[in-house]
Amino acid sequence: MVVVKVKRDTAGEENYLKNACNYVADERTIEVDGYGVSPDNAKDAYEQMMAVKRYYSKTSGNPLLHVVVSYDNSVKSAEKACELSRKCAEYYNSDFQTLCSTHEKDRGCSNYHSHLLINSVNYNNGIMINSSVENMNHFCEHVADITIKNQIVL
Amino acid sequence: MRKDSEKKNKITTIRMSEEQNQIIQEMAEQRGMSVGGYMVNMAVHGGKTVTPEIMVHMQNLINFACDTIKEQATKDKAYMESEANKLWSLLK
Repeated sequence: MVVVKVKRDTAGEENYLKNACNYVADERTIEVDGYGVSPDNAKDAYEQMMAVKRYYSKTSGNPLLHVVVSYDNSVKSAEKACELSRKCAEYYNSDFQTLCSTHEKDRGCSNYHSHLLINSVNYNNGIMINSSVENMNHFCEHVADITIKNQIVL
Repeated sequence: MRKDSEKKNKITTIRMSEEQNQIIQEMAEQRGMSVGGYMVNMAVHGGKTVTPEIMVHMQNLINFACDTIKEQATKDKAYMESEANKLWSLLK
C-alpha cells in the first residue's frame, strides 16, 4: 500500500517555501528531480518558483503544495523509488513547477518516500492550485495507477 | 493573507462589442482563466516574450543538458545554471 500525505502549513509563506526546498535536498536524499526548476540548487529552485509567483502577483498566501508519498516494502530499490517519484510528480508537471526528492528512511513497513513540492501558482495562467479532497483523491488514483503498474512489472 | 499590493480592489467597467466579448471569453476559456483574469494578464504582460511557460520549458532543457554533462564537465554545468538564472531574472 502507498500512503499519500498532504502537509498544510501556510503560516510561513515565503519562508516555508524556502525551508521546504532546503529540506527536500537534505542528506537523506537519494535523488532530486526538478520540473521547471533547478534540481541541484535549492536556492535557485526557490527563486524560480518565486519568479512565477511575482509574474502573476501571487507571492502571498499558500506558497506550495507539499505531498509526501510513502512506498511500502514492495519497493526494494532506490532506482525504483526514484522512478515512481518522477511518475507521481508528472501528474502536476503540465501546470505547475515541481521539485521532487526521494528519501531513504526505514519506517518498518516503508523504506522509501518522496516529497513533492509543487508551486501553488500555475505557470500557464497564474491560477492557484486546488488541493481539495476531491482533487487530492484524483491524485491518489494516479499514484495507485502507477504503483499497480509497478507491481505488474515486478 | 494576501499582501496589500496584490489585493484586487480596483474595478473598471469597459465597453466592447458582442464579437469582441465572444473572442475574449473564448480566449480566457482556452487558457483556463476567468475573463477578468485573462484581460488583466494580457494588459499587464501582453507582448512580453519571456513568460513563465517559456521559462519552465527552458529550465527543463537546462536540467536535461546539465544531467547529461554533469560527470564530464562540472564547469560547463555551473555556467549553464548561471546563465539560466540570468534568463529567469528577465521574467517580470
